[in-house]
Amino acid sequence: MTRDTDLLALLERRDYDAVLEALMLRYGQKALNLAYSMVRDHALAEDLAQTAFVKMWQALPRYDGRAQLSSLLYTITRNTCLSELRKRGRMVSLDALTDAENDDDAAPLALPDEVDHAGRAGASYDVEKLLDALPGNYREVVSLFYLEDCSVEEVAQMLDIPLNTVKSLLHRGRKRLAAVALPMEKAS
Amino acid sequence: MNDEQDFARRSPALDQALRAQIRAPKADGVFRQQVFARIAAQRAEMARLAAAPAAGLARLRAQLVLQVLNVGAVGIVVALLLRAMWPTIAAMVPESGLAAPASWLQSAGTVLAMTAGAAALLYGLHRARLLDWMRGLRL
Repeated sequence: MTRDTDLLALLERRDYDAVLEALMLRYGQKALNLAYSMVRDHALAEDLAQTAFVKMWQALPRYDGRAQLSSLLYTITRNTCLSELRKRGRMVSLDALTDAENDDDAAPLALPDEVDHAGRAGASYDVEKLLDALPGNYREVVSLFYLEDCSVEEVAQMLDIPLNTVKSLLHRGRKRLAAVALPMEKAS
Repeated sequence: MNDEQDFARRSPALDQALRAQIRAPKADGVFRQQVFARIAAQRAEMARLAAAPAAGLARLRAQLVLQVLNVGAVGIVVALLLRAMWPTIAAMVPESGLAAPASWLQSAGTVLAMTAGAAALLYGLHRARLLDWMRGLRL
């Protein structure tokens, strides 16, 4: 039983506007978070999330109930963002997300896990700059993780990738962030 | 200790900065209104298209007639100019000592003119992108 079963009655009555309104209230922020984690531009993320909801509204009459409504929305949002990124030449492959689990870090990290780094109290970081230094797949996962109140389960569902892949990408992504942050910390 | 707690313990400042600075826009009432405004615009467009297929066809027909008239008018003007200037052109040919080519042109002139005319017409229709949608009209 999902939390969207109450919407099935509305769907049967073909009250698509009401279904969309409910979906926006429940998942609007998540869809926006997902779009933002992929494009990292507030205006563009809003535009793409809105486009995704319009596409969702168009898809509702053909909804067969096999997938969860939220999953369908996330898929539409991801695909909308991916085609926009493709158009802009900033391709992010979802395959890269799943491949990353088996990819044993292309660039070796300078910092071992045990070293306490980037932890000095009072150090200030430009997170945007730090995230820019990450490969796209790590950046998406790290951004979405912090936007989703640090829930790896939510991130896995929204990106439609296995939980372990999310954990692995998150671990490596933050390790890379810490490595990049170290010089910044020394400079500050 | 899981990875999440471990990272927060080892890199508290960085963890805090990530929590504080990664912010997406808000999906508020304005966001929802904008989505419904887009949907309303789509509905209006769909209704307009559904209600007026005949109007669309009539517009295409009118465009076709205009283009044909356009091409025809240019053809008539060229023919009238040639007709008016023909005595001058005919007088110029013997003077220039081009009797043989002129006689050949005279004999082949009709065929050449028709071919050139047809090519010009086809080229004009192609440039005006008329051929595809003329087929669509099924006239």
